Amino acid sequence: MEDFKKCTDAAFCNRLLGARDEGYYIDPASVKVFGPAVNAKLLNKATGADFTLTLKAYKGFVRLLVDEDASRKRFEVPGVLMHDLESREGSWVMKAQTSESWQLRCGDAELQLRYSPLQIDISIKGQPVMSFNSRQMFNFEHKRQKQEGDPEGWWEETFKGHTDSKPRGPEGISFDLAFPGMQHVYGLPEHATTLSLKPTVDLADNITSEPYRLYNLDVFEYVADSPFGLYGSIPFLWAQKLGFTVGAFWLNAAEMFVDVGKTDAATFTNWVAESGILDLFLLLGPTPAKVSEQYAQITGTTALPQYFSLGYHQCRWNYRDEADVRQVDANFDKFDIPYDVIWLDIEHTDGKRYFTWDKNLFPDPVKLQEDVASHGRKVVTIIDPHIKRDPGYNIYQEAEQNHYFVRDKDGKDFDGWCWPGSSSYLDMLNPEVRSWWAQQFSLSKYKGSTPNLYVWNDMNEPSVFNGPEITMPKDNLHWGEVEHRNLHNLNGALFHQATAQGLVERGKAVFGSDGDRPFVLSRAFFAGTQRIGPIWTGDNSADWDHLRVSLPMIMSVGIAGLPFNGADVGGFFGNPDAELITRWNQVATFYPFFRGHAHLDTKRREPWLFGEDATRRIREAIRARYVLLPYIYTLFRHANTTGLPIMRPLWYEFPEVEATHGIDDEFLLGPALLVAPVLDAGAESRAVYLPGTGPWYSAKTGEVATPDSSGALSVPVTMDDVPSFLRGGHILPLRERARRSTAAAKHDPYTLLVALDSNGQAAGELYLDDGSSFAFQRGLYAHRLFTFKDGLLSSQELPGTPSRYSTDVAIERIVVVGLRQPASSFSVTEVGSVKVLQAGAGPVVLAEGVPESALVIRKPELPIAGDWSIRLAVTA
Amino acid sequence: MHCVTFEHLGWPQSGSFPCLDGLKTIAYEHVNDNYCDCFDGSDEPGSSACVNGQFYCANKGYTPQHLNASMVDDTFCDCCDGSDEQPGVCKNTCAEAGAAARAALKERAEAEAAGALLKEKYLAQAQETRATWAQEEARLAKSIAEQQGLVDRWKVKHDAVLEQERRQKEKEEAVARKEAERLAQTPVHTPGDDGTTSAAAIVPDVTAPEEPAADHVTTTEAPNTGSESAMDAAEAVLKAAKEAAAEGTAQALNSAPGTDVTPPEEPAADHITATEPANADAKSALEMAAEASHAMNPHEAAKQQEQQQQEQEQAETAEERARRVAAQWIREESTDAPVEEPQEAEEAAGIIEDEAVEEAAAAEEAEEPPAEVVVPKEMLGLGDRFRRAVKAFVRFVPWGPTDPISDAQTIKDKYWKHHNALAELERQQSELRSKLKLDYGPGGEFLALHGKCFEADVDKYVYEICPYKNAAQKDGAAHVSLGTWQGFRDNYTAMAFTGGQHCWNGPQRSMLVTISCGKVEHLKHVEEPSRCEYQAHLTTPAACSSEAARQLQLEVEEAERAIRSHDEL
Repeated sequence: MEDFKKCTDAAFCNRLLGARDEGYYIDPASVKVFGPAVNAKLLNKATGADFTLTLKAYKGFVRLLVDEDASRKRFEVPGVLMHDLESREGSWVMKAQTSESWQLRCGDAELQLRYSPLQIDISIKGQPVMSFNSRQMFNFEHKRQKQEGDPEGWWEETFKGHTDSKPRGPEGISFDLAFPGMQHVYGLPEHATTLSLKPTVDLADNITSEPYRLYNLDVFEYVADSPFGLYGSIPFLWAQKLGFTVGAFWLNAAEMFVDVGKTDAATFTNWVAESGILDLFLLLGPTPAKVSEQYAQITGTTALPQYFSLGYHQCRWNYRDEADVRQVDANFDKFDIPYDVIWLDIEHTDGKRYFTWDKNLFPDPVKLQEDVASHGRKVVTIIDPHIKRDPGYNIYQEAEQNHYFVRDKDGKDFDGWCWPGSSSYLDMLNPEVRSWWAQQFSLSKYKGSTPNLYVWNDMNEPSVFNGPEITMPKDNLHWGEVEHRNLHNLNGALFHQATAQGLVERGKAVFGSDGDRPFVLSRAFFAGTQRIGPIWTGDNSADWDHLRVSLPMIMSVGIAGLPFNGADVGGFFGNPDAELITRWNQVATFYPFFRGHAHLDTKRREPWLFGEDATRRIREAIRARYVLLPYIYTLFRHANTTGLPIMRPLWYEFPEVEATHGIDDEFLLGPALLVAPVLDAGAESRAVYLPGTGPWYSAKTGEVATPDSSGALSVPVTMDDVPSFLRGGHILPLRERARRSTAAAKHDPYTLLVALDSNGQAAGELYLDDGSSFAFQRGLYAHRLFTFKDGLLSSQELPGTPSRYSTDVAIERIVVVGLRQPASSFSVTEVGSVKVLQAGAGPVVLAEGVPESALVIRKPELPIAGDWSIRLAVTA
Repeated sequence: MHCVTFEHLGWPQSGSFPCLDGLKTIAYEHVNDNYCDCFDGSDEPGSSACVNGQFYCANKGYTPQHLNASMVDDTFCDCCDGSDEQPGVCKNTCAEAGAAARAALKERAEAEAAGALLKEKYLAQAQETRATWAQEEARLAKSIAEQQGLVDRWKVKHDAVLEQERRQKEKEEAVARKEAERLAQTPVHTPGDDGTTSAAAIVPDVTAPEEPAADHVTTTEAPNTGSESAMDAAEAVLKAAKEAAAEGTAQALNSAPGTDVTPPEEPAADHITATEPANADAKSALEMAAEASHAMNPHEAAKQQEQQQQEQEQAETAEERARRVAAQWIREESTDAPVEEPQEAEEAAGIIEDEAVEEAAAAEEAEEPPAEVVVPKEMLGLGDRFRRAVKAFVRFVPWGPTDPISDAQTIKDKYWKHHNALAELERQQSELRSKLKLDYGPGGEFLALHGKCFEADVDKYVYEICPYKNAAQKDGAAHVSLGTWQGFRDNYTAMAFTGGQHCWNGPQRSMLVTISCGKVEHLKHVEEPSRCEYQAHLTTPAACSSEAARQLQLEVEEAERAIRSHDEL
């Protein structure tokens, strides 16, 4: 970690973290209201510097903007905010005005703007939830001339031999934000730590740990509990108390540090950024789902993924050559383990020149992709952002001639080191460069690519081996003479976006106007990345700590609006033993993104290499994923429409249960499936907390789980077990047949798993489309709603959907758990038909030893996308 | 769902159906109805309904096949007869597949037959070789007995000479002690405190004079004086040795028994260790020579790397830093680090090889050597000029022999000549016995691979395996050990080599070579499935069998009969 900065190593953090200045005040005469906006002049008593302050009302959130006057143009993060943000504007209703403050209202929220010192307090339904600058930690470093005797670090600073020339001088911003009555804050990824963020300062403001850092970095062998910054940054924080969930999002892509302090009365946060402007969104919730929706309205929702990309991915640095790829592909079939994508890391290229192939190892990549695709599978190749400085390399040559590279402070193309050696880095801030980059993915330009090839963007923080903190110098220059420091955390997302755009364009060229959804995995990310594609949590290690921390990491990134993410299964560095790799796969069944990956130096670890028992268990874990895919895809549709996460903290579904607020070793997959995986070596039981009144049903037996009065339950486990529970009141669509890939399951029948609540009711959904194109955007999809009430199970289209997708696939099995009467006492008929359906007591899953605790309807042959109702009647 | 005929399964055709695992009985109409009822999937032989089901393809014209149920009706053709998919989805390719399989089978049968013939030769040769070896062993045993007699006779004379010389030496030593006491009063350089090797640092304490010594010059007994004259003499010796080396007259002293440079402690040793490390702290002479021969030795390289890391980063160039960080990820040795030679330490401690000596001498030629006084090991085998130089040195030493050439010398020469001849015979005997003890397979067929090596070119590397010896990866002159012979595995279907060169931060390299029947020895399919764990395949007639050849021939005939009857239908 010594390669990386602490707060005290960064001049702006040193100056601003915890720094108080009571001198910021609003000129009362300047305050004006224009529809949704309050405009005012903000001044500093000591310096006389003046700023513009805008407070904007939206439906469900408030936006606070502070900037200097136009004479000093500061960087504003482009491309992240939704274009239709204005349509969300609300309008202020004046409640009271004095010489010291204004009181405004918007919906349920009341806002008080105090003039001197500046303070903004927000309450919802009379409950205070947020307070800005109540501790006077707001600072805004104004424009100034360089003078003799200026403090050290204003105009230049040095870290580990790297000097950052700072021609613009100090331009940091800081503020404090308090959450009255709230004991838990979450989010602010990416950090390898607990979901509920631990305090970094104590009650007396003494530092107890480093602040949470947001600075996209390629950290070698990151530790499993640390506030240090990792590969991606989303400056979005959640705060919660019983009945109120709120959020704060600072749209700023510069380096940032955030302190968290907790008292009985509140959680205090203190944010500092090196440059940019203050553009702070305060999300008013008041439920977790509302906060997700509000954030999605600001930065967008998750792109609907390719269906195949939700299957299992097999990666390794590196599958050596074509024979190796074919062998691994064949072994998945031999061992009857499903998988959808095989990945090629950097060694497949000709000397780390991306878009090329090593001619010895991969002489015929097109044939290879066709062969892999012959069973419905895909290939992913890695395309990194560092471009080898080789005049004979066409990508370098074109980019160099067109001045597409980021420049150093002297204006020359920046020359940094990465895998290929001396490299330059494309300036993705320039839209022309992004568009040029996108063109490189056309089948004609990317030689050896086929429509079955998708892409992986690694190292896009960017990783620069000889740069400060293994990244790019902050005084490098982008398009429009913008210093790198301003957009560092956005850099990877811009590259990711341009790559995904390339695949969108390729898809349109190959498949016509409905095209092909892109699939591009990125390591770096920022707010808005959810609109582009998935990320993974980088180079973790094969140990139990990293397995455990994967859950809070995935959930933290997920609630920050980017739910399509996962951790390398097995751990990137090191060698997992059979137990760890088995447990890891059992957890990863439920990761939104499920990929096994390993470092070059590790032993081979494909699923069949750990003995027969482990092979069987890993097969079952991966198959369980494929069984859940209809449910998971439906969850992704919700993420796509409203921004809801996939893997959810317990508190997300049960905010009213305070005991859930600190739990991060269990999770819910969507609303309906609670998983308490085994995360310890040698475990013989797993302590589970089941929130709410239930009922919860064991997913293994279908029997009602009976926790003690506090909700605690100890579940005995063998190596076969993954304690998981069906939430009463939900219906899950499943596909139970074993298949080698998602494509191979395309025509398979469905199972509906109905888990009744205490009123004997349940509901669930299934989203259906072609799984690959953009045709859904013109209505070619079905979104089914299944309801169970008073013994009647019905299927209908979700109200308001076009239902323009048809399929002849049927339901082969309906399983109902939680009926009050014995399953054998029911007769089942289709409403409007005289046909009596085969039904009787059966197991929730067909396997030896599973009790026949459910009602199983055998081969109802009901259309999955059609309307129907069946009635369960007690005959006896 | 696919219609299946149950004949091949021997199933009932009506009533109820007991699942094959015996755990359940289901209604007959639930069999093969595209819904899974049995835990073992046995009710669904024609559909994909059961996750653990098995589908049977008849594959007429080719081989029948059991397919995982997961591959039935998935739109991808798996059986060559296309029966795993709905009609019209797949072409029937069994005829082509069958023809290709028959051709391959035929080829295999022919190879097995040809290989089996060769194997007979191998077996015969093995018998012959073993007989020769046994004869040789008997012959050696006889020679050894004869030689032992000669040695015994000459030993008596030799010992008498030694006794005479011992007395002479005692006298001389009395003189020497006095001289040593005189010299001891001059200031003595403190040895070894700065890690550099001074003359004194590697010179042992003067304890030898107390011991009875023959006329062998034990150069380890050089005086611990630090006197200038002694230093000068040592330098002269070194210089002479260098000159000798430069002239390429290097020659192992052990080929010249009876010389006057033999340690008294090990008179039986057939090679001469001129000096043992003087004490535990002192570096051996060879180590020093090795130091001199490398631009930078491994210890220094490591130390320097450490220093580099500790130094301010600005001292690093951009490229250096990048390489260091990259190396961190890929765990590679940095390019300027010396290539590890695992045997080096052992060699330094043990037997001196001519090459090492030459290298060391050459290195000294190239550089000004450290001020060594003792005749270091690297000077051994440097030939006449060296011996002359040693003698010159020895003459200077007051207690050295005054008249080295005498009748006594002739006796000693004779004794050592016979002694060494005996040692050589014993060495041959032990070598032969080791060879006889090795596992050459059930009938000795693998003896044909003894002493042979096989190579395969993969990319820029040449892989070489030498059964009963070692395996290596060669890249031009670079040579990386993939392990030494560990014997056969899995009933002579594989050969294991382990304990090769260490991977940085990883295991020692190893190689597993699977073996199958082939007309010739051919090494192929070299792979590195895990880092530093190599695999390859070797075909050899030694793995063939006439029984297998017969079996294959029957299969070929059976296949041809089957296809004829199929065609007739």
